[in-house]
Amino acid sequence: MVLRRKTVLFALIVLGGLLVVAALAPVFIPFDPDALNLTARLLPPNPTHPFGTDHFGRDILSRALVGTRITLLLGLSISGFALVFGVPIGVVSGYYDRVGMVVMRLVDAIMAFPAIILALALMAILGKPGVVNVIIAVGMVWAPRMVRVVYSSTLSLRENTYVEAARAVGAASGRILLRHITVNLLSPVIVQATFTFAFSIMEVAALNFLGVGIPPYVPSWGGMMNEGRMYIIRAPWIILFPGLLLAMSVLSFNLVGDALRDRLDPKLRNAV
Amino acid sequence: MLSFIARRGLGMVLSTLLVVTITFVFMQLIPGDPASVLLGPNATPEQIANLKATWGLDRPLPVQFARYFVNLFQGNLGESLFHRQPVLKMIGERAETSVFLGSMALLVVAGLGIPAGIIAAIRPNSWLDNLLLLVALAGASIPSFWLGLMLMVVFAGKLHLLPSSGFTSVIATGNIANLKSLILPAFSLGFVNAALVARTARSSMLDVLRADYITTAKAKGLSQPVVIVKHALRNAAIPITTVISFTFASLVSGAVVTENVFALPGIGSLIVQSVLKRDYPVIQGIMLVVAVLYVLVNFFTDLTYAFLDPRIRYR
Amino acid sequence: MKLRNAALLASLLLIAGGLSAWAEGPNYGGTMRVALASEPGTLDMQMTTGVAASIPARHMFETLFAFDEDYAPQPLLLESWELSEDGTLATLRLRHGVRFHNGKEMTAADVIASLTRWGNYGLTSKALWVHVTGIEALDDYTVQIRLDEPFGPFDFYLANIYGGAVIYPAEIAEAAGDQPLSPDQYIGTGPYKFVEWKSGDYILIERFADYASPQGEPSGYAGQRVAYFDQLKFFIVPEDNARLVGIQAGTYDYVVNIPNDLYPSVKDDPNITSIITDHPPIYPIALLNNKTGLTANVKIRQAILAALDMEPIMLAGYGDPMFWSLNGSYFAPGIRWYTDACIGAYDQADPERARQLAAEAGYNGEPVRLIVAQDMTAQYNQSLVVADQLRRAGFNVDLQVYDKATFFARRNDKDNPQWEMAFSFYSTSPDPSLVLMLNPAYAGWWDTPEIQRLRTELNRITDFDARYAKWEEIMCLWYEQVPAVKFGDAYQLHLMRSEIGGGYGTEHPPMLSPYFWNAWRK
Repeated sequence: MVLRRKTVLFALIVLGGLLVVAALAPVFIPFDPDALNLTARLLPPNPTHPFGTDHFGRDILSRALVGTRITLLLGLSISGFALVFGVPIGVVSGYYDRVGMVVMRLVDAIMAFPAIILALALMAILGKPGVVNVIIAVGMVWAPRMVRVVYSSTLSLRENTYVEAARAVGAASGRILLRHITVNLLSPVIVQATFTFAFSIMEVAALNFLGVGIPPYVPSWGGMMNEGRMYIIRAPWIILFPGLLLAMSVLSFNLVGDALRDRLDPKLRNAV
Repeated sequence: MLSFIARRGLGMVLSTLLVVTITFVFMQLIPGDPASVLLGPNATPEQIANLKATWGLDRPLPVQFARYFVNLFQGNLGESLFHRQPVLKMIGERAETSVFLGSMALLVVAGLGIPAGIIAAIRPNSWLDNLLLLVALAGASIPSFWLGLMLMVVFAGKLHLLPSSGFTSVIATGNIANLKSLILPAFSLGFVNAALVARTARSSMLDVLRADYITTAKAKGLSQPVVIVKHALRNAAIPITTVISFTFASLVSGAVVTENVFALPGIGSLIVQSVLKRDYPVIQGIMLVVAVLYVLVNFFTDLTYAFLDPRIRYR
Repeated sequence: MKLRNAALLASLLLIAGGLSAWAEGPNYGGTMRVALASEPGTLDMQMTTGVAASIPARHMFETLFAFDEDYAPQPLLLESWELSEDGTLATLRLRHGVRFHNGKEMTAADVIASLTRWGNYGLTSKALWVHVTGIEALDDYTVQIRLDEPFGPFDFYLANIYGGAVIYPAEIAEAAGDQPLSPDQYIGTGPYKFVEWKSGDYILIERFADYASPQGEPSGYAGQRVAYFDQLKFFIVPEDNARLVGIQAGTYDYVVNIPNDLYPSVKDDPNITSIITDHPPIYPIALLNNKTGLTANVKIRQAILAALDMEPIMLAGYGDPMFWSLNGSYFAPGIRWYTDACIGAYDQADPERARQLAAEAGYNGEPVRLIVAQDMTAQYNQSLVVADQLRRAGFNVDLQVYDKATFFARRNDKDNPQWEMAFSFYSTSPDPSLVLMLNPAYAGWWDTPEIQRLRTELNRITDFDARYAKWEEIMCLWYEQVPAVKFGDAYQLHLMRSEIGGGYGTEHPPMLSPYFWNAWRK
């Protein structure tokens, strides 16, 4: 338990640190993250450039720090998009059979598209590559997945004794939904949301890999890793440092999400 | 039961038709056209217009859509604009790679994910639980292309243990050793999803292990393994099944990248190539096949729910 | 020079490696495994200008002429040919006994049908074909082509394979029309014949036993062709690292387009010969929209040119300076069309002058839209530096990055072009009249009265010196009107296993796309 609390504390510190970095990065970065310096290409980590430079001679440390901002923004916005659309639709579909029948067919149809292909198609349709378009495209990929998780949990929950009991004593549907089902949905929703955060960042990178998505010159961790892909043998630091930052923040996000789940889940709270 | 299957069957057909329609609409909305890709950057506008006319892409959309549907109901998925081969044949040729890759990746997913989740749940908050959780989460935060490239550089480039790219048919050559080519791709594809399954398995097991009937079972003096296998696992299986069925979609999606990295002739690389080239009939065909598969997987998932949890009635 | 060094090094290595392999000489058999970077759209060379397609297709299909290592056309399917005094009647005499892969002998009827299809639908036929007034067979082995006026680069057009006049059996050429051939129609006269194409996997071709080779010392694509390998297998391997690791591990014998920056990983590998395709180079160029919007104003185009400093642009695109050189002339030095006339405006790196020119044009912060495809890595890399330099010169730059298909669709949109500058690269044209920017229908739409006059004159003259003078005039006009910006000459890196004999890329200079006849496994 002590270990657990320590890891959560660590995760919170990391996330807090990331937020600070995201807010203040422009103030304390050593170099202009977009400044090209073609005489300093592919330099390995050294005292001037602690994380090395990329194939444009840009400072990786500065780009990675500034990239925190865009990466967090993307991950949070996309998870937010999935939550805002996914949870209400999922609960209602799970609770009302008729709605569920219709909505789930549509969800099935959308989910039948491989995520990357769907995002690729949506990006192409939305037109010019840009951050907002990426949030919409990837958000629309993840919202149906959230719907499905919420739907199947609701399905299971509404058969539970306490829901049946509530119904038996004549509680209104709305109250049942809010009071008994939604609250108990927290655990699967948080698990799903944390993974949405992680996967959506990867997906944004995969979109870059396919030539759409946020413009590659915008410093984001996924974009940097993708650009560094070609240099994985010759200059591994290009892909390494943004990769480590990405892994660390996803990890922290998951740990904190896990802790939240322990606090919020009523059953578990009693157990603790 | 029968009426459940009939109703779901109808739903499946509807979902599939929806996919076909959505795909068609998407094709029209995406800028770029196959003629200018085929003729290359140096073609003149007249040449492009000529070829589009030959392909019938200059006709009104409802006509194109109707024509596609008529052909579809005759079992004709059309012909690739680029390769001049029947779409169905192309998909058939590619299916072997994808099926083998998918199955091997699923082995990685289930083989790593479920045991890790269960072990972690038995002793929650122990060092083992934390370690497994850390490994699982670290796995989930490595993009599969990165993992794939690292594996390729190390195991193919440096150690020369496994092939770096390509895959030769096992069925055509009868040589099962060709599956070696798929080990690295399957691992890089499966690892990310294994983390997802491990997490879900852990949290479901935890929920179940804390439920009253488990306490009762334990109180009755049943041994730990019996409780886990007989009671807990069965009840935790629903969320795990959901996640594994998700994994199917995510594997298809992941294969898109992995097959490109390892130059594997599978469905995933075919669809990326076709989207990038705007080879409409192939995109339509693959989406149809993927949709049918996906809908079937979901159907069987629901059946499994019903089997695992008798409280969920066939609706 | 680089080439000669490489050749010298290779021969030294060969001697050092022991004379046994040398003494054994060429031997037959085996499969040559080649990794391509992208999958061709079709192998029908009349219908595609793709270099990736030409690599397998060149072994299956043949043109009437072929370029030798100096890019001069030599007869390939022809025995001989002549042009009448007035330059309007070409008589082509075919070689006897040339067989198609289906066993049929090639005759004048096949040539006429193929040329007709090419003339109607081929991608690089137009400038020649508008002058063709008649094509007829004098007998089974003689074809006459009548022109309404002399056409200088006649044999160059027929030697070019990119969108070029490859010869198919008459019935196939007629059946195909403007549709690209289907795989069962892949029947040519080349030393290898089509076996199968598993899309996304490989293209397999095998030795054609009845191949009738042209005679003469091999030089470039011309001269004798011997198919030593039983099979050539072209794998499609889009991932750069996979091609690199693949050749290091010996999975492939030849890989194309390794990013130049990865050269240090292979340069000391004794098993790998590096082939640097500086013969000829490729030309990274940004098209300017001459037709509409901001860049329709010639002053703005001149301002853009003035702002650019080419060295960092080339460095970003092509890496180590051994892989590129600065050259403002359209053609590279060593190609007979190279000229240094009027290239003073190239590489000015003068943002102040750019500012001044833009001010004269009344520039007022309107966006300059740069479009580029992310999957064309070198072009994307260059666009970033160009954007930076233009910003320094006071331009409001809007860099738009797309995937290839969207990029080409946007770039080619003639009715409503939504861009000012589009990044691409070009392989050397066999003749100046094939330079795409001279084509008024081509993206960029350079169609001033001056260029209209010059390009008509260029095509009409047959005498080389007179045409060369015309081309110099065009280059001067280019730097005055700035229809496009050339950044420099760039080389690509191909790799070959050292156990492949035949001297491609060493004794024989590498061509734009490689060939594997006359190659064998040691």
